[in-house]
Amino acid sequence: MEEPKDYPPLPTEILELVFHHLSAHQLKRARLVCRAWNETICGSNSLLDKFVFMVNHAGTCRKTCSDCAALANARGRFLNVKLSYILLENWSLVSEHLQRVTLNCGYGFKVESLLNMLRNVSKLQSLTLSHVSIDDFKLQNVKLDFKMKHLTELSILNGRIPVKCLYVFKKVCVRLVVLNFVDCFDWKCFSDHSDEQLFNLIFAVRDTLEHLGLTYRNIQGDLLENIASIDRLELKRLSLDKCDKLKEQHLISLSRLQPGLEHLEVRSLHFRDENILTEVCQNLANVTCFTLQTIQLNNTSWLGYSPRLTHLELNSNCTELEFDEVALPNLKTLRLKWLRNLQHMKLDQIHSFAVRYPNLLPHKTTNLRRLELIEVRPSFPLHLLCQRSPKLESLHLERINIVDRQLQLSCRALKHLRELSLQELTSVTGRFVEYICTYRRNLEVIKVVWCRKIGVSERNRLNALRERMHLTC
Amino acid sequence: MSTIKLETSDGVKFTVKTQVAKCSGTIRTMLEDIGINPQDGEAIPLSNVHSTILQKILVWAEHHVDDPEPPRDDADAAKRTDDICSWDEDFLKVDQRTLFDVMLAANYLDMKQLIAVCCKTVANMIKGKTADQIRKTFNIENDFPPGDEDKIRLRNQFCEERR
Repeated sequence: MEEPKDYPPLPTEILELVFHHLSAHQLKRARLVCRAWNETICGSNSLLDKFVFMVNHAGTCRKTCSDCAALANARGRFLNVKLSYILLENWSLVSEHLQRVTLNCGYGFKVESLLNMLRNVSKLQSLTLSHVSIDDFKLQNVKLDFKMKHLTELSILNGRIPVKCLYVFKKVCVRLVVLNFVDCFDWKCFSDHSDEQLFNLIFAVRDTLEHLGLTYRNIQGDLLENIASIDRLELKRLSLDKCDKLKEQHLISLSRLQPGLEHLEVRSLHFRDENILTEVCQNLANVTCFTLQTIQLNNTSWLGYSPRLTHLELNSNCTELEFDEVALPNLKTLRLKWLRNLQHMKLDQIHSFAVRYPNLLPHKTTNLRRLELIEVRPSFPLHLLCQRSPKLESLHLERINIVDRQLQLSCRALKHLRELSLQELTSVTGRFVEYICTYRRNLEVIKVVWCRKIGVSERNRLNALRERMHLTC
Repeated sequence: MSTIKLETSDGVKFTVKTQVAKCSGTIRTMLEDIGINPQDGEAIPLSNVHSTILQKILVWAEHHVDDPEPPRDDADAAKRTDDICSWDEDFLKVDQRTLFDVMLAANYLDMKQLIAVCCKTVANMIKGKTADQIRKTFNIENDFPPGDEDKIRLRNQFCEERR
């Protein structure tokens, strides 16, 4: 429908409101429409916040390299950056307005260069060090003469950092709200004082801290109890994993000491006793998000004490799972593992569902928007499930022996699909890629990982769609 | 039931229930804060709104006058665009010019719910389209100097969606 253009375009403020409803992928396309649209997107901090500026570079970054040039070009434009394999010495290249920084894969990092960066980006709100290792250093040689007043999120994941960094962070970060440590400490430098250092850091930020995530061995239940009893500390979210020494009893005292918890994730502990779960749930009246492992539990009646639950992840062997609207009226996300004996599953109100080894077809999935299926028998009627889930936007299939035709049939029913992720589907071939390239060009994200029968030429075809899609092969 | 008078840019006067008129933040402020007295019989001038558009907006306001306040902090709900109710969907099945005029007027009148539903409608017109298709849909001219488009394309490669 062509209309004569005799009316003015939408003003920037309204365009911006429209663009807020678009994903980063759609915004990339919108940038290419015209100058006004491009300027609206680049001029809006809240829209730019949807993007992460990624620079992936192997080796030391020199001033002359193209990635660094891109980084310098984007200076002042982006609020979030993720730098991979970069040992950036010249931090003045990055914008001083950066809000979120992720450093990915960096070895032999000097604590001085980290502090240099922090000095440069004083408005930083979130710092993630992922797979970064920091060389050992002497505390007395480090100048800690500044504070990060805006930094609220600190996450250190899968790296190797000396425990004394905790002291550095304690001195520099004054208003942490989120604190995450995942397998990051350098065991060579781990000492008896490590627990003390962690406790001291948390104590220092006790007035602001709300989210705490600890995933590493050697965490003692006593340390957790000590942390939980810190005066004025009111945690909203606690994630624990690999804490082998944790006992069910510790969880009870945690739930008593931190009754305001809304989000509890405990992966390393297998609950055996329904009474303990009942007590934990009773203590945590506000809990909305639960991740637990259970063994030999025959009922889920203890969940009735958590009516506010919106997210439930359960690794267990329950035989019956029924989520009617009376018991859990707000439940939207459900992730299940190892439910081999499950006989009954009702999903009326669920938006996001993930399951490993389902042995039956869940019914009433009309509101489903996200589905993850892992290791499903070839006989599982995926296309039926898809037909019954017309609102589905995201589909992840992993280690399923599904053939092209079945997959095609399933996808055809999904009109609103925007994300498709296929992992280790050994029978899927280039013919399905052909179908995607021809008929499903409106997909925004497609991930193909370890699908051996998809050949090079088909991958190249998918790569050609890269302008609009994101592809991992 | 109390009524007030509104006067549009083309001089047409509307008599509207006060409750309906208060769907507009702008009119609400005029009545409550500035203290314009509707009993005076004097019409509130809406110099940026044409009578055809105001008429349409009043139909919408009449239908939604008893709607509850939307939840505020639901960031996810704000992003969704498939939750437009069918009445609104039919209401906004108009030509683009009217849709844009309704948006501009709703913005001027500060009617957040109406703006939101219009924005969702326009967002749905953008979704799933390439830049070229978007230009065609909205009749926009490609005004990039040669080469600039490629520069943006190159920059886009460095951008990912934040999770």
